[in-house]
Amino acid sequence: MTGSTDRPNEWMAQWLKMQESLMKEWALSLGKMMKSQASPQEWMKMSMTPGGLYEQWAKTLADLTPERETEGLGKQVYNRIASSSKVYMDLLNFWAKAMSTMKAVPLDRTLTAEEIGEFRNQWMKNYRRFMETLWGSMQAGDDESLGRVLDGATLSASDFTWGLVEPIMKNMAQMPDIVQKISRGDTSAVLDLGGIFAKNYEDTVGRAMIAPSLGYFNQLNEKIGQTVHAYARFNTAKNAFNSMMYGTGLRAAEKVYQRSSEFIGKEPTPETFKAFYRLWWTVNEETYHELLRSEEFATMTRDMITRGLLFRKWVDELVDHLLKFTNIPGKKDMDEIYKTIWELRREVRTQKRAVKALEKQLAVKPKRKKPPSE
Amino acid sequence: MAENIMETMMQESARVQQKLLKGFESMMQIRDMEEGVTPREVVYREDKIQVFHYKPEGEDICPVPLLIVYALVNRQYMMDIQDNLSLFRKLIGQGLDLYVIEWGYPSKMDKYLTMEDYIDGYINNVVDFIRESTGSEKVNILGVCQGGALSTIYAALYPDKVQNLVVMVAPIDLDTTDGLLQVWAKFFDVDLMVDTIGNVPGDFLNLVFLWLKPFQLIIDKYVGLLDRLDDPETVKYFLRMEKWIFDSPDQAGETFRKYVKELFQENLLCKGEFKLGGRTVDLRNITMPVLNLFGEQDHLVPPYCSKPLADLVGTKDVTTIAYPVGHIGMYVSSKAQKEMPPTVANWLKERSAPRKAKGPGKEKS
Repeated sequence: MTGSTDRPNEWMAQWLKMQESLMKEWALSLGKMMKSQASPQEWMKMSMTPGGLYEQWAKTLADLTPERETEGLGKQVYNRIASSSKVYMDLLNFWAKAMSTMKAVPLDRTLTAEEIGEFRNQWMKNYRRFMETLWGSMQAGDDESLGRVLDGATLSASDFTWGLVEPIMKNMAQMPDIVQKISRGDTSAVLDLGGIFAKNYEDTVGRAMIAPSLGYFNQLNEKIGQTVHAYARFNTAKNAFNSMMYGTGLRAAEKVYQRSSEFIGKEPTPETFKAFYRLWWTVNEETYHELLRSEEFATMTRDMITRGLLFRKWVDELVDHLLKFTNIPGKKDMDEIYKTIWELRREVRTQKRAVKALEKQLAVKPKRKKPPSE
Repeated sequence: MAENIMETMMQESARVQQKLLKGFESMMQIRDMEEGVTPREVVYREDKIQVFHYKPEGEDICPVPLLIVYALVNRQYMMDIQDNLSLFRKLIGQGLDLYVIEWGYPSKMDKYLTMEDYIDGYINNVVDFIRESTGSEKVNILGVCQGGALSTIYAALYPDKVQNLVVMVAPIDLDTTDGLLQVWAKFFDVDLMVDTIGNVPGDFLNLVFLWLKPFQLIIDKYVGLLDRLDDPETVKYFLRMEKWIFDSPDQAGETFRKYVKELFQENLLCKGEFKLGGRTVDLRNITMPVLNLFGEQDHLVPPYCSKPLADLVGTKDVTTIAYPVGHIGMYVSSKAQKEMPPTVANWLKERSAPRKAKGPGKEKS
């Protein structure tokens, strides 16, 4: 690969010129000075990839406009567009690397097995880097939504859990191998890590967590233990789920790779990139669709949601228990109130209907008594 | 080659940034969009629900009023999203006297609301209100999506109050693996969710809907908009759609539990075993004419879920029309916008006997 990491050169100068022009245009549209615009020297220090530069550009834009940004529909949707654009720019970066690699493919002879292998390895290595940025952004979104579903969950328990199990993790014989695998980009190894974590946890701390405790605070201690235990199990299920999703991404990568030969010999124009982008997202959509239809996906999703809900359940139990010592009503108290209100509303509705029916009868009866001929 | 690659990268990066800049200024100023564009009047309120009345236009007024029962999952203004894409406006333009239920946003207090409350309570009360205020002995009902299932159950339980039943993209037969939702629902522990968190969050349902087509709905939809970010009309339409898509009320826990367990997982309605308020819902009681509309490319409610209604009801006057569109296309595609309102209006008018004349309805709290 050439070019993308060379600094400064001709295209970099062009890039800076273009950035300057864009930022000026933007500043003019706002009618204000660009106090925090990055200097050319600062631009030079930035990540020289479209994704990196885009990120920096978006950050500069955000820095300049805090007082103008108002919460609202426009901002929400704009943020969604901007984060999708980031994925698009990261793909552009990957594509540029892939095209540079393709440049080295001789068109006048058949490649050797070693050359094909090398080409594929390079391609997959670059793709994995891109996928990490993509997977990170999608995962963050999912976590956020799931977090809202499990709303009220004390996520700081994560640190607490980790503190409890960290010594075990450090001493595990399998760890170096797994960590090495992960560092090589084999994220399926996360699943192994999760499995080892779960097993060790269940055998050691897990048992202690759910064991009945004694003394004045035994109920409270048990609930704390159950909550932490449920959180650890939720995390294990979440890791397994994420690993499955990542593995599917790798399968999609293989398919995109197979199809990328269509681009050998083609000029690297914006249109070629757009064609590649279309290929990329449609292949991914199809591959993920196969997974989403599978029993494996349904089972693992159910497992993750179930464990998440059980964690939430224990958090509620714990909070209810703590609230017993105060005058503040807990979840169970509120449920009782909600149920009573619902029953009363039903009763009122029934009574209203009965009254209405009686009113109708009273209004209709005199008419019936009067013969039509009179 | 390397120079070309860099040049392309620069061009494409500049294009994206340029477009984003153009959209930035206009979008940041938009705080919200209207919920429906056609003038309306609130004529009925009960708990969190309200009913909008849209007055008919023209001279050929359908003598029987039409009640639209929308899904509980999203909001009804998708059918009135903007001036040129409003089914409500087109339906009243065809002379239909239109009433629409707006379900509101269930709060924690509503977690015990049951399907009986929705069907025997709210829908039945609204139907009675319309009958009383218009003087019409019966009403026409148009049930949309999940509202189609609720309307079908209502029509089976109260056939004397329904002149004609129209259902649009209604999930009726759910014993299928055609759609992802139907597959996932089979694995879903709805009891645990409702017992634990009460109401089912709209955000959770949104996430499920996004996962039906993740790359298209999370990435490509927004990337595709980049090229049109400098077109104010496109941006406004996009924002309206975005508002609607993510405007998902939480689902009342007990209603959701029954809906998922008995309709999605056990398909009891089709089996003739679905019970509501102690009564078995027999679809053969639907003896009034039925118009069944669905989208051939619907990925949320696949045709297989909607089509079988014709074989389950007790009337022979069933008209089934498939449109070559998806779920959302049923509301906003140019084909549906052009063809559906006159089709529905003419079909209803042919089957609606004249009603007694009476003044316009008044709001009731």
